[in-house]
This record gives sequence, structure tokens and C-alpha cells, in this order.
Amino acid sequence: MNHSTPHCPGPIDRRSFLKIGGLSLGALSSGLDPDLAGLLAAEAVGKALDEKFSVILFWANGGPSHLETFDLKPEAPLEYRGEFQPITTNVPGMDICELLPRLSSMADKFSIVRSLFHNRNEHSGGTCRFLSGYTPKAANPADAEFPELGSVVAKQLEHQVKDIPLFVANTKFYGGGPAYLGAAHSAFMPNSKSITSSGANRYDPVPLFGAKDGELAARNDALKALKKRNSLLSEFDVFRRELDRSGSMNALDKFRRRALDMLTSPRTAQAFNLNKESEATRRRYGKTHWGRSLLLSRRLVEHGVRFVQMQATFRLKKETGRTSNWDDHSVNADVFKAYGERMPVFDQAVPALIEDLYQRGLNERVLFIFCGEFGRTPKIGHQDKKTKRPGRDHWSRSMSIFLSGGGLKMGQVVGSTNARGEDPASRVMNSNCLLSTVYHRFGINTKHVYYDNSGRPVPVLADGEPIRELL
Amino acid sequence: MVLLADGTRGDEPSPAELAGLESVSVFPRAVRLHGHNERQQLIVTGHRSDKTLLDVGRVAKYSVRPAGVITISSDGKLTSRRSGTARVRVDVGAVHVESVVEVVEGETYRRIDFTNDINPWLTRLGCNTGSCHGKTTGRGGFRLSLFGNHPDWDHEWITQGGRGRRIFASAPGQSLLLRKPTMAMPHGGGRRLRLDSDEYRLLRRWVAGGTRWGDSAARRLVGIEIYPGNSTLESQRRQQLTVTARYDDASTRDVTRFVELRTNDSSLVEVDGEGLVAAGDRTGETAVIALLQGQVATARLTVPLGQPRAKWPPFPLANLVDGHVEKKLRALGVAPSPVCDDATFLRRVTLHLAGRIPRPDELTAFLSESGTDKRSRRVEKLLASADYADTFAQKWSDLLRNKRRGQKDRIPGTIAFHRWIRNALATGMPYDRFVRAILTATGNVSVSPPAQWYSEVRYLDRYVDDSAQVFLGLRIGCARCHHHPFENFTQRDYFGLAAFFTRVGRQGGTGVAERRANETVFIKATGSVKHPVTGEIVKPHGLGGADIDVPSYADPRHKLVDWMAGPQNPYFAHAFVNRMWAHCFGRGLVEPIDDLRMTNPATNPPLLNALARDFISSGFDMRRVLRRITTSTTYQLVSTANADNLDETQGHSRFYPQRLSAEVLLDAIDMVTDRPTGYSGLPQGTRAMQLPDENYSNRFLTLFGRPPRESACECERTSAPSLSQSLFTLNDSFLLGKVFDAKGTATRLATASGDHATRVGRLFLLALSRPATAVEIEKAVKYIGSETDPKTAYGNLLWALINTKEFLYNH
Repeated sequence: MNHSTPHCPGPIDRRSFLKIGGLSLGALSSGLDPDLAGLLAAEAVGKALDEKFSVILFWANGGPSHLETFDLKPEAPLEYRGEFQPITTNVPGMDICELLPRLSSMADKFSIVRSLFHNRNEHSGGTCRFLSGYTPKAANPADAEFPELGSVVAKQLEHQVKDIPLFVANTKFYGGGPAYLGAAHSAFMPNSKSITSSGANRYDPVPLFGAKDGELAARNDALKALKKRNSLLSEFDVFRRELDRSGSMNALDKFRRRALDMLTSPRTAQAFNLNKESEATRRRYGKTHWGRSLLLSRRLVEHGVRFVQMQATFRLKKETGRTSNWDDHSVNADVFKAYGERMPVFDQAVPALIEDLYQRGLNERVLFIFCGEFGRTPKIGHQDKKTKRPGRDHWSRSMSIFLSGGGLKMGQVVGSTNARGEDPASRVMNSNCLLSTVYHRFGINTKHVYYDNSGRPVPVLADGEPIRELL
Repeated sequence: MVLLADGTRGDEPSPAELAGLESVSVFPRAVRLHGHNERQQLIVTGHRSDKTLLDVGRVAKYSVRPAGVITISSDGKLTSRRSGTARVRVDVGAVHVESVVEVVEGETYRRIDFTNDINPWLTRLGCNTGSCHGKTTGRGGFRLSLFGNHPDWDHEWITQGGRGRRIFASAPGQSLLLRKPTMAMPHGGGRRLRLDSDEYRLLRRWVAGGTRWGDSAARRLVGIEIYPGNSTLESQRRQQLTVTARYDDASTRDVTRFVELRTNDSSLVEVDGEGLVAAGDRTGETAVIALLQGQVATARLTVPLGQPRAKWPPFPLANLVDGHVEKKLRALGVAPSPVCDDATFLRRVTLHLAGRIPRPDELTAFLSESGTDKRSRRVEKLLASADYADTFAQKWSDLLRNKRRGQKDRIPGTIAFHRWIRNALATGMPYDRFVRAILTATGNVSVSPPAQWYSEVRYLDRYVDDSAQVFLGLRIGCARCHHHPFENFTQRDYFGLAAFFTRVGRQGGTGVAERRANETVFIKATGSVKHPVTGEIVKPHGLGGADIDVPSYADPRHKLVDWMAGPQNPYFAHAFVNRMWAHCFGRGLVEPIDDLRMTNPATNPPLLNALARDFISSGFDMRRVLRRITTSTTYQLVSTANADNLDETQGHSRFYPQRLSAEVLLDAIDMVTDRPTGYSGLPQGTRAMQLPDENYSNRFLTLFGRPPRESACECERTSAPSLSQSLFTLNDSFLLGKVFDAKGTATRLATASGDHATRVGRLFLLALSRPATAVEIEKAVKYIGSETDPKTAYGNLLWALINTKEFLYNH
């Protein structure tokens, strides 16, 4: 008997759902769109959930190499082990890559899980598999066939949206998306120039129409115009919304109010405004794309965003490789030179964020996760005909996950891989265990069932237990 | 159970009501119980003088003679005690009725049969659901077949699995099988069974008796029925149901306590484990379903608003739709709203049949048109228009997943398929021929555009799932891996459908997997499919149909369409008319619209049948269905509520507002702002409604719910509002740019001559498809006067109108 298994609820009928939702039976007329039920049910659902828990997912799209970051194998044969040596950290036995000296002094503030695996070896399929917990049917699906982690969180916490979105991302992941939860649960993506631009550091997530470049006076004028249009709208919008019993008109008005709040209240604009940070802080994170992304992530979770998803794109030097992701095949990049370039930037931004999480007491409620869709082939390849440079290919059989904060137990390594880093050797875990851990902290019941478009019930997760060492 | 404020359940009839009854009847009139401690629920019904019925089973007086053969509870449950014959007299008020009960072999318990007696309990107690032991890997090392569909496996796993550790015959109560669900030991599934319950005693007797398999071979379940199959109960009243099983030895048994009972709408009625249904405060109609070992049964329940009303508002019966709707509304006691005015009708019907809002000139002409048949003439005109073909070509392109997937070389295919669909609709191709052309497509998209469907759907299971969901309104995918939980469909049925497609081959083309283009679809000479459990080669057969032998030179898919389009097929025509109904009313008669199972009955079955028959007899004329619907009085009711029907959501006593879909909305915005949106690679002036595939990137369409065509479900197209939509309409330059564009409507009006009142009138006619009221004109003119720049004023006004619910919804 596995006592950690949560209570097996059996089929939840609609009635229990209503009770959970705290809706009066009369309110949920049979005409009410079930998708809107959660939204209108509001606060009662939230009580079971951790009210403040938030996640920053720093996503190494393309697949980071576990062997160059957090699971080095210096004893492995030459064609496996790579160029870098492990270094010790302030936690005995928790060695990491020598390119991360700053991190090595704060290993008590992070944990590494080395023994996750899954079964999809291509980028978008792997991303869908890793972030949804389900294997997609199509090869290379551009969009997820099952809802990604952030979308599920956004759906579950929907009623808590106030004047800032719950789920913010700097870009849509290849193979990610809300699938059958519907477009309303995809990530809020601010003006693409806001986050990814590498030069300016002004972040205006939703530039007000008519206000150029966020000049204060222009902004105020635009704001005035916006308010005027809206008061005009309320004068002419006289259709009686109670005539619609599906809840759609009600929701429309609700969202309109929230959107207006978002645009007019300073909270969102402030959350995105890195100018509110001191020059010293910005310098500490590094004036790089990653530094800015992580500093912004910290601001966002401080202002109430619950799931921040930052894709860690990185433009390599031309002679190192031709990609701006982590897909270091021999044909794309020299894997070792690539890490040589990336890791110093990483070792500035990530430690700065971790420092902040701990100094501000955010470590109890904000979980920072660094990972990608899979690990990389332990055996080094030299397939590029021209350069013969070293590279590593896709490897979903093992991968390392880097975690910090989140009220979890830090300063430990969970699991291990075999001598060549090919397969998990101890604490062998399906990658769903990570999702399960995150859902557990959000207080989201992974047995909660959503229906796909063919009417099939699909629970949030079909398997995977929270990683007990972390709890 | 619906609880009243004071915690009590619904009302029972008062003595005064009972005294007024004309007669009383009892079901069953004759009972035969086999064995000791067998049960039968009596259903006692009072008949009022106005022909309405009333369940009086819990207030009747029961007396039994002679005593000792049976006992009876105060709510009419008989229990056998010894062999013999007894008479039960049921007294209600001044009337009475009798039932005769015969008990045979009443001194001994009936022999327990695993399939018929034990397995149903494992289902009812929730042991074998997909989230517990029914999961393919089991739970806690113990596995059961999903919903008990393989009793032979279950028997073996219970009695011999885990080296026999679940059964302890010499001390039955110590068996794991009994200790776990009673929580005598920790159980992940919690307490499922009480020590003092009948089911515990039954399980214990079965263990003590040697966990026998029993004699189910001699007595196989062939069906279940619920009595009464149809009942009307007033709000807060209760109705007892009883479920009777029929076996192949012609015997029957009251199995109410063994079956799983569910209500399809718990906001209307609740049902408890003993079959007692209680109505709440809402008015409507729903069903209670019973499930037992793969057999299903349905009972319909109507909760009327109140007593039948004497006064009924005018409701002209325009065609077959209205008669059935009126009958239903009378049964519900909900009076319909009045018929809408011409402007409302024109906007509504133009949106549904042509996918756009009416132009001001159309509107003015229609308002001044005379003749009592002007609405039907308008319907004809719209059905004959190119916009009709565009609108429905989009619907079918969604359902048939006409998808480019970002592959340039797929464009010729997606355009050809879209054009083919559009032409089929424009030329009035009968629906059966339309479906046949798609399902039997062979060749390359250049010669046979529907071959695109095979190229996109690609896999055997998806051929089955998609064709069943789109053309039969069935979500049959469940039956691929296990017996369908809510319908009598087996895995054999599923693979019988799959067998029609096993000879489909694809050849040539370029690209990988889903992204392949220009494949040639052909029929191979051989190809078969095996039942995944039995390994038997399953021959093609329709659901409930006979196995078909298809010679190697013939295309089995033609046989599939023959079966689908046969006049007796209960799904094909129904699914289509239901889809069209949902298109016009925002909800299907069956909802979800592609879930036509027996346990999910239509809100108005005679109406659905009548429409389906009408469709079949017309030779599957697609326009005919839409004509019937849109010329009915039902379709033309206002959306405004009367005293009865604000909360009425399925009887169509008024028109329920529907949100405009992404493409319709964008086209409407383009029209009223006079700033068309461009789509890459398509000629200027192409409307969103005319886009052939999903790949024309446009943020507005994505945000407002254009489906990515990833499934065969209309539900993929969402019309739900979202925060991002609101942000977009409030602030994004896409919309505001159109509104304030120097070449757009607002600027033109601002610089036009004439007084503001006239110009405002034109703006309202354009945007809201109706004349402005005096109050609206006054308000608008006053506002314009307050602005210094008339362009800003008209722009803001136009923006406001575009964002009203009146604009965003079809009402």
C-alpha cells in the first residue's frame, strides 16, 4: 500500500463539482457554459489552493545538456565526458559545472533532480510531453495536444485574476499551448518588444493606444481617451445581460472590467517597468537578455503573476554556432564553446535571482525552475561535415532539473544517472513527477478531469507523484 | 439530493391532494420473487382528475395478506421471506389497488453469481473506475476491468491475484477484499462499504461460499429498463424509479440497488442510490440514466413551471418545428415570448445563413418590403446566396480539418478541398452524396479534393473517431480500448467500423507525417484489423449491423456510407439536423451536439425525429433543414424574457443570444469600419469567412476563438470571452486603427454634411442593424457636441457601438 497516494476520489459527479465550486444549484442552470462555471464560481474554489505560490520557469528551449551543467561525468570515457570539470559547492557532494562558480557558493539555496526521463525525443513533441504530462500523437506538433502546465494553472486559478494576468510568457513555446482548455488559457504575452529586446530596458507590456514610447504626458492623454471611450460604451451598451443564461455576457463584462483595471491601474505597468529597479540591481542581474528576463520575472511574481514562463534564447557567436536556442547538435554549434558562452551569463542572472528570492522571503512561495524539453546525448557526435565540431543530440532518457525556493527542501541532489549519464540509476522518475510536485504546491488536484474535444475525460495528470525528497 | 432551506427533502402530497385522486395504479401488478431476501420496489401512482400523475408511494398504506410471505416497507419495498403467494393492498386516500406477489424457493438465498450479483457492486461502489482499480495498471497492486466489463478477468484477479491474498475463505471477514473497503485496513480509496450494509453481507456470503463463478452462462443479462420511462414531477416533488433487468432465460429482476444511477442535469433533479428522484426549483427536462454491465437505460423527467396554464400567447404553427416546440412548452408550462420585429429577424437570419450582418441598404429595403411571406422570401434569397456557401464551407472545413500546418506545398490541397466543399454546398449536393464523396475519396487532391481529409486524418483510429463524430454524432473513441461506459458499444463495434478503413492506402507526396502533401489515396486489395483482446479478425459492420463481406475488388468504404445513409440509421440524419439546429439556436437538441448516445437524449426527441425524417424524405437536402428552422415561429421569437422564461434554457421559449464567431465578428467590424483586413496570398476583399484553411495568421481571429482544426468537434471553436480579447478590443491598434482610420466610416461621417442626428442614425443602422431610438440619438448628439474634434467623436461612438453586447451577439 502506498500511503503517499492521495485519496482516490472515484468519479466526481457534477453535483460534487458544484459543491466544491460553492455554486448554488440554481445558479448553474443547464445552459451555463461549463467553461465559465469555474470563473463565475469564484472565490470558493481558491480556498483549497496555496494562495500565493508562484513559479518562474526558465526554459532552455532546444534541450540543455545535463552533462555540461548539473550532472557531470568526469570519469566517463573520453567520447562521453565533455570538456568541463565539476567543482565542489558549499554543500558537500553537490558538484556542478566549473562554469558556474557563483552558483557553487549558494548550493544550499537550490536542488538538482538528476533522474527524470520521458519518451519524446523531438522538440515540440518533447515539450508537449514534458509540460503537459501526456505524449502527443502527432510528430512535431506545432501546438500542444494537451494543455501545458501554465495553462492548467491559469485555468485552475482563473477566478483570482484581478488587474494582472496569471500566466505571462515572453514567447509561445514550440509544442506548448492550452490545447482543449481553449485560447483564453494561453499565456499572456506582452508586446514582444517589451521583453526580448536586448537594448532598451523600458518594459511597457501593453502600450496604450495612442501613447508613443510611454511618455508620461502621452500616456495620460491616452488613458483619458480610453476612459472616455469606455464611459461612452457603458451608455450605449444597454442589452440586458441577464437574458443570456450561458454566462457569456456576464463573463464579457467581467473581463472588460479587469482589462480596464489592468490598463488603468499602475500595477501591471509597474510590474513590467524595470526602471523601478536600481542601477545596482540591474547590474547585478546583468544587462543581458537573461538578466533582464529574470529580473522581470521576479517583479512579475512580486506583483501577483502566478506563472512566469521565460524562454532562454541566447544568440551564440557566429563562430560558435548558428542557433539562438540550446539545440547543440554538431551541425548547429560546438557544444562546449556554446556552454562557454552561455554559462557566464547564466551564472550572473540566476544567482542574482536566487539571492533576491531568499533576501525578500520569496523563496517560501516562489519556485524557480530551470530545464528544457530533454537532456542531451551522452556520447559526443561530430556529424557536421565541414567543421567536425563536437555536439550532442536529443536525449529524453535522462535530464537534470534545477530548482530553487518554492518552499521546497533545498541543498540536495535527488537521484542519479549511470556512469555515462545515459539513464537514471537511482530514484528513476517519469518527468511527470516534476509536474506533480508543482501542482502539489499550487494545491491543484491532479485527478481533476478536463474533457478533450472528443469528450474523453483526461485528468490533469495520469501518473507521477510529488518528489518526496523536496517536500 | 435537493435540500430545502430547513434541511428536509422535497414535499410529499398532502392528505387533501390524496383525497382528490380519481384512481391509483401500481407497478408491477404481479411480482415473482425467486429466493430468500429478494426485493421488489412497488411504484404507486395516483391519477388526478386532470389526467396528471403523482407518485404516492411514500404516503400510501400497504397491507399484506397472508403475513409472513413477504414484508413491505413504508415506501413500498417488498422483501421475500418464505415461499407462497401474498396480496398487497395499497390504499391511497379513498382509492386502492392490489398487487399479487409469488415467492418461490423463499427459504434459501439464491445462489450467488459473480457476474450478475457481485460485479455490479464493484461498479456501483466505484472500485473499477478509471481513477481507481479500473486503471490499466490497477491501484495498489490490485486491478479490475474498467467498469467491470470483463467479469471473468475480475473473478480471477480477485480470487487468485496476488497469490490469493485477497480472499481468506476460512475467516471471510478477514479477507482483504472486505477489510480494505470497510477501512479495517488503510485503503487509498477510502471507505466504500459499511459493515452493516446488505452489500457487505452479500460479499461476505460470497466469500464464505467459496467465491464461486456461478451460473451466469445460464442466465445472461440482455437488457435493463427503467419504470416509469417518462414522468412529470412538480418542483420539490419526488418520484420513485425502479430498474428491471431482463435475462436471456426470460426472467426479470428488480436491480435498482445494483445499477449505477446518474442524472444528466443535477441542477434540475437529483437521484439517490435507491432510485428516488427529487426535483428542485428549476423548470426543465432531463434524464436519469442507469448503467449495468454494459447495458444502459434512460428515464426522462420533466419539471414543469406550474400547473398547466389556461391562457397561452399567440404562437403560430408555421411548420413541423413549432408543433413539437409548443407541445413541449405546454408540458413545461412555460409560455413563449412574442415574435421579433423585422430588423431583429433580418440581422439574426443573415448572420446564421450568410455569416454576416445585413448591409444598411438591405435593411432599409427589407423594412419597407410588404407581404406576409417576406421573411420566407428572405430566407430563400439568403440560402441561394454565395454567402451561404461561404458560411457553411467554413463550418465543414473546420470539421473536416482542412489544415495547412504551415506547409506551403499543402496549399493547393487545402484550397482545392475548401473549394470543393463550397461548390458542393452552392450546387445543393445532397448530404449523403457529400459524405460519400469524402469518405470514399481516392486519388490525389488535384483530381479528388476530398482526399485531403485522408491525408490530414491519417490514422485508422482517427478515421473511425472523426467519421463517427462528424457524420454520426457519436463519440465512439472510448470503445477503442474498452466497452463504451454510457452506451451499448463494444470494442468489437469499434473495430467493425475500423474494418471499413483498413484497406485505405496512401502513396507518394512530400513532407513528414502530418505535414505531408499531395499524397495519393488508394484502396488496397487486402487489409484487416484484429480485436485487441480476442485477436479475432473483425469484419466490417455498422453499429448494430451485420458483418459485411467485401470482395477485394470493391471499396469497403462504400458499404460504410450505405449503412450510414440508410433510412433506418438512427444517427446520420439526426446528427446533421442537430448540427444545423445548434448552428441556428446556439445549442443542439442534443447537447453536446456530437454526443448522440441513448443516455444523452434530446430535449425534444419527437422534434429531432421529425426533422431527421423530413431531411431523409427530402433526399438529404441540406438547405431544406435550414429553411425549416429559420421559417419557424420558434426561430423568430425575441430573446427578451416574459414572466415565465428567463431561466428557461432548452425548450426554446425565447431566442437565446449567441456570441458571434471570430470570423463573423471580424467581417462585421471590417464592414462597419469600412477598413477591410488583408490576408496574405488572397485577393483584397476576401472575407475572414472565406479563408480556406487555418493558416492565415491573424491575431484577432486567434484571440476570438478560431479553431486550429485539431479535432472533429465544433466545440473547438470557442466563443468564450477572455481577458486577452478585452485588452485587444479596449486598446489594440488593430481595432482602434480601423475605427479611427482616415479612410474609414467614422472620418467619413465626421466630415459629411447634414445634421448630427441624421449621421448618428446612419451609424446605428450600419453597426446595430436597426434604427436608433430617439433617446440614443439625443445622447449621441450631445456627446458629439462635447468633443472638439468630430473625427474623434464619431470614432469613439463607432468604437462604443462595436463593443456593445448588441453588436457582439446574435440576439
